[in-house]
Parts: sequence; structure tokens; C-alpha cells
Amino acid sequence: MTDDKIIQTDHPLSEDQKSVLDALLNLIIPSSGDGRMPGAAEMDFLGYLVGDESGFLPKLVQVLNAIVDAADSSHGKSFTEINESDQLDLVNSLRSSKGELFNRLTNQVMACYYQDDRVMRGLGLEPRPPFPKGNQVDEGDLSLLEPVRQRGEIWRKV
Amino acid sequence: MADEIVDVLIIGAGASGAAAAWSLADTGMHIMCMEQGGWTRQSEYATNFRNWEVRRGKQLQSSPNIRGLKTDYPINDKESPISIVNFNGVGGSTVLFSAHFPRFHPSDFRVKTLDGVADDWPIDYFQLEPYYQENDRIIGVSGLDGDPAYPDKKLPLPPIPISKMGNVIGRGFNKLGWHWWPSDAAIISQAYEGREGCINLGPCNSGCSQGAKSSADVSYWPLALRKGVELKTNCRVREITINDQGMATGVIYYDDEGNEREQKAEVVIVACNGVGTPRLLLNSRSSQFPDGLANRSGLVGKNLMLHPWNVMDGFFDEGLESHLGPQGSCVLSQQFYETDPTRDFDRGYGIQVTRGSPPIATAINGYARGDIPWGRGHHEAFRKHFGTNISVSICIEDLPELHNSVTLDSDLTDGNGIPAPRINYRISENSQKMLAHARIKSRELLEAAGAWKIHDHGQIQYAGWHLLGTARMGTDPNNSVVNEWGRSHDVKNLFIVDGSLFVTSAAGNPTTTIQALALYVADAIKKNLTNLFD
Ligand SMILES: Cc1cc2nc3c(=O)[nH]c(=O)nc-3n(C[C@H](O)[C@H](O)[C@H](O)COP(=O)(O)OP(=O)(O)OC[C@H]3O[C@@H](n4cnc5c(N)ncnc54)[C@H](O)[C@@H]3O)c2cc1C
Repeated sequence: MTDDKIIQTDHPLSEDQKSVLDALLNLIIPSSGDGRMPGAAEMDFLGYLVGDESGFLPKLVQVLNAIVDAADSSHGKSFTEINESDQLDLVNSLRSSKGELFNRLTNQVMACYYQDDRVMRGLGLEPRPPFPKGNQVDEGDLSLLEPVRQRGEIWRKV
Repeated sequence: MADEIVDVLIIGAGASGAAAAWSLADTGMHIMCMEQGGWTRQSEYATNFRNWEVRRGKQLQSSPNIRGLKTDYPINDKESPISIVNFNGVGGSTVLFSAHFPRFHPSDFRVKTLDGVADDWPIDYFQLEPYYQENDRIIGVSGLDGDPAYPDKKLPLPPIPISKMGNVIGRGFNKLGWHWWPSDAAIISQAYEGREGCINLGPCNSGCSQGAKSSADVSYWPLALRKGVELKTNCRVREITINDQGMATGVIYYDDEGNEREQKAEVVIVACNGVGTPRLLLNSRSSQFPDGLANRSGLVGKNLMLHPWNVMDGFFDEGLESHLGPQGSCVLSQQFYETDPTRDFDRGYGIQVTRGSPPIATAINGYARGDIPWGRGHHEAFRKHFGTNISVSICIEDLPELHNSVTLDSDLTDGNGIPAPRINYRISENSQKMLAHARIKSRELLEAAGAWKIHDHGQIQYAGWHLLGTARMGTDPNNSVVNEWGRSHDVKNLFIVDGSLFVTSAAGNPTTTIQALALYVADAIKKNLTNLFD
């Protein structure tokens, strides 16, 4: 068994925190209506954070606890029990008071999401590293340079 | 313990050190190069990996202060709105460079005569031209002949594809009647001299996994080593030593284990770049040179030029696939390059059109700008911003000013206890006016090309990639550090070959000129071998 496995199965969040996280991730990036793009909760975000070694995990716990507390005090319910529009209002009010934290969270979610195989395919990209296959790009139309040629030399003589 | 004496010791294995080593190897002398870093491996660059976008942000960061490798030295640049970026290893900063490779113009060497500002260079474009050509041939430069912004030049390889985005921006330029041309690039557009051609991996500035970017480690170094140059890696030079006659005798350096050692040499060539070179000279103090070696003019570390840089993004309706292709090289414009007396600033700027962003950068930057939201609108907004942007960078000619300087920090040191460089730099009023003009013109261009949205990133902080002017060349020992062929006025067997030599900065990326200069100085050494120290 690899070290990775041990860390990933040794779950750093409680079940409740995990459900709040899933709801939160789907608020950030929901799945697209046409089924092409998955929601962010379908990614292994926790696994990504653990592997990323950015030290964001404790910050994530702070975010989740803040959400749980806010839901409890404003609705008297758990976050996952309130409707989506109330969830969004609640999270938005936290975003305005804890902007830096939520920005970091968003960046981590985007980084995890936009390298996932399903997301790559949804965007019409091949899920692979750039090397060794590389990419084809259009040559471009060099005949567009004709007016530049016609205007003639522009370098300053010395 | 002193090692065996060598004929020529080059300090720094970057763009200039590599070119000088390759050229001097013709002499059959014992040439040694000492480099504080090691080799990087193409197989370890980010684009080998599935998570390349995340990796590139961490691995081989361009800021040495963030990268913080053992082979790096810290740089105190708190007193500068532009932070220094570089790479310390075989190939130097070209390992991370974007390979945009415009030459200077003939006028760049004559700014005092033409415009009454700064100083003329002691050499001119046409003296350097054969060395530009030789450098293009050795490393493999791609581009399109016939650019009317230059005297005639022939490049060894056809241009990098300008792609759909090049068509769009080209039409914008044409609408305005402005100059534009496919960029000269230090990237081989097809197989060349045993190296495979570019396959459009994208982020050249994270290291090229294909080896198609002509960084000095894959272009000059294999050739120089084959010619017998000895390259000692992980050796950091602390100071250059001198004898009673004021001649350089070699260096004191630290090996990989941190042992202090000495290397004797007949000739010493410094190639540590516009920050590393003044740092080393200033740290080489003695009773003969109490203010630093070769510094009787007091100009070592002065006149630092950094090319303030503005970036503006335009977003277009059509899918341009602009996230693909060599990031820094598409097209350039030199419409505003030369002085125009109707403007409120001296000299001019270059426009460098670069490619768009890959997925993660699109999402994160779009979110930060408020363009790509959370929630239901996310996917549609992402789609509109991905592969549809064109970036317009501005490189303004930074004029030399004495107060912009590299000195030694009184507290900060590197891992060997050598004082770190300290940067004091202000963006001049002339540069501010130029930036303001360039912003208006960048917007005009993007609008003419049909952008539906424009975002001005403003002047970029981590853009201190061109390090110039801190040991400038000239004929007057009171007004320059080295003579017209790179030899110190004060120490007759000490040469400088890197960007420190620049008298002015021109309005374009400097490395083709740095390497041409290194070849020119090396050639002067070869031609003057019999009376080198007269
Ligand atoms: C991210 C980035 C993008 C860039 N893009 C472009 C571009 O598109 N076009 C362009 O023209 N230029 C670009 N540049 C700049 C270009 O890389 C430099 O102009 C060029 O590498 C400078 O060459 P040099 O020989 O002066 O110094 P360097 O290439 O920096 O080499 C100096 C070497 O000296 C070594 N050294 C320093 N001090 C010591 C010491 N005390 N002992 C031993 N070794 C020492 C260093 O480790 C380093 O390897 C870019 C740079 C960066 C960082």
C-alpha cells in the first residue's frame, strides 16, 4: 500500500463536514444542465488537497465550521437542510466577511476541477499532459502582412 | 586548496556565459565555467505531467525568493515596484525564458545622438550584426524574413505559427495601419541540428519538455562541452581575487558541500546577469578596490534597467484556441518603437502579442476579475473566456538612471553567507508617460481587432526578467565599467559578457543582444589574444 492511500483513506473530515463540503462545492461549480460538465462535488477535492500539500486543509475545516455555525444561528438547521437559494445567501454573506479565505478556497476548487479528466473531455480537450503528443495549432494567414510590406521600411536610419 | 590554474574562467552558465564558452573553445585554451546551479531535466518539467498547470505554479517558479532553492540567492527587491525573476542553473534564466527574440534596432545604439537622452553605445548595430546572425544559427531562431522594421536579416528557420489569434490581431493592426510581424523566437519551429521541433506545448516559461526552446542548456552547452569546455556545476563564486598588480588571479568559491575553495585563472569572465554580476563585483573588495572590483568609475550596480511591463487582455467571440502554442511568441509590433517628437516622452515601446491562458489560469483569473462567477453562470462564463483571449504586453524602453541600483544588502545573505543583492528602483516619469500612452494604444488595438471585453492588468510586478545596465560598456573609464569590447577599464584580464553591459535597454527583450554581445566580446578576446592585457 502506498503512502498516498493511507492518507486518502484516513479521512480528515467528519461525515457532516463532508456533506457540507459537497453542497458548497456544488454551489461553486454546479453540473451543467446538458450533462457535459460535472459538478465540483463529483471531484475528489479532499484527495486533491491532501496531495497538493498546500496546507489548505485546516483552512477548509475553518470554512466548513463557519458555514455550519452560520446555518445553525440563522436557520436553526444544518446547512444541507436549507434550500439552495438560502445556502447561497448564507455563503455569500460569509464570503464578504472572509473574502481571503473563500478566494483561496475558490482557487483550490478551480485548480482541482479544471484538471479532471471528465472536465477536460467536457471542454473538448484530451485528458493528458501536453508532452509528448503536443498540440496542433493553425498556421495562420501570413498574407495578412501584405499592407505592412507595402508601407515599406520603417526602421530609423542612423 | 587551489585547483589547477585554467586559462579562462567564466562565472555563470546562462545565456551569455554559454555563448562565450562556446566561442572561446575555438582557441584550444583550458576554458572552465563555474555555475552555482545544476542541470535541469526536461523529463521533470511541468508539461510532462497530467497536473502540469498546478505544477508549473510551484516547480521552477521564476521568482528566486519564492522558489528558494539551495542554488538560488535571495534578492531584496522590496524597494522596487518590479520584482526580480531569474533562474540559477545551467542555461541560466533561459531555462525559464519565453524565447521572444527581437533584435535591437540600429537607432538603439545611438540614443544620445538621435534623441539627446542617455548615452550612445560604443558599438553599433552593424558591428553586432554578424554576431546576431551567428547566434541565430547556433541556437536556431525562427521567424519570417522581410520585417520592414529592421535592416535585412535572414533567420535559419520559418516562423512559429501565428495561429487563428494571429489572424485576428493582425487584422486589428491592419485596420489601424500599424506595423506588426510574426515574432522572432528562440524556438526551433522544425527539427534543427539534432533537436526536435516545437510541438506547441504552451508554457515555454516553465521549461520546455521537448527541448525545442533554445535555452542555453540545450543549444550552446552541448556544443561547448563537445569542444572541451569544462563546466563545474553547483559551485558558487564568492569573490574574484586580484594580485598586487591589480590583475585578477581567479576566484574563491563554495563547492556543493559548502567547502571554500580557490580556482586560479589567467582570464576571468563574469556572466552572472545584471544583478548577479554587480553583486559579485561589489563583494570582491580589496585595498585596491575598496568599493568593489572594477568599480573606479563608481558605476558598478548603477543604472539598472528593468523594462516596466504592462499587460492587457482582450476577449473575442470566436474560439481562437489561443491557449495553445508557445505562450510568449506570436506577433509583435514596433509601431511605437522609435521616438516621436509629438509625444510627451522620449524613446518608445514594443508591443508583444502573447497567447491566451490554459484552463486553470482562465478560471482563477476570471474569478478574480469577477468575470467567471460561482454557481449557475459558471460554465457559460468559462466558455466565453477560455481559448478566446489575446494578451497584449508592452515592453517600454527603460532609460538608465543612476539611482536605480544593485547594492549589497547589509543583512540578507545566501546559503553560503554571501551578501544578497538589494534593488533600489523607481519607474521614471518618462516611463510612466510611456506606459500611459501604451495602455491607450493597447486598448485601441484590441478594440480594432474586435474584442468584446478588455481587461488591463496594469504594470506587472513579477516582470523583472530583463536585468540590464549595471556594468555598462563605454570608451571613457570615468563613465563606464568596461571598454568597447567588454574588458574592465580597471582590471585588464577581467571581462563582462552579460546584460550588465547594456548602455541603454531598447524596447524589446534583450537576450538575442546579450548573446550577440557575448559572442562579440569572445571574438574580441580571440582577436587580441597576443596583446590581451595591453
Ligand atoms: C520568466 C522569464 C521569462 C523571460 N523571457 C524572455 C524572453 O521572452 N526574451 C528574452 O530575450 N529574455 C527573456 N528573459 C530574460 C532572459 O532569460 C535573460 O535576458 C538572459 O537569460 C540573461 O542572460 P545572462 O547570461 O545575462 O544571465 P542568466 O541567463 O541569468 O545567467 C546567469 C547565470 O549566472 C549564475 N550565477 C550568478 N551568480 C553566480 C555566482 N556567484 N557563482 C556562480 N554562478 C553564478 C546563475 O546561476 C545563472 O545561471 C526571461 C527571463 C525570465 C526569468
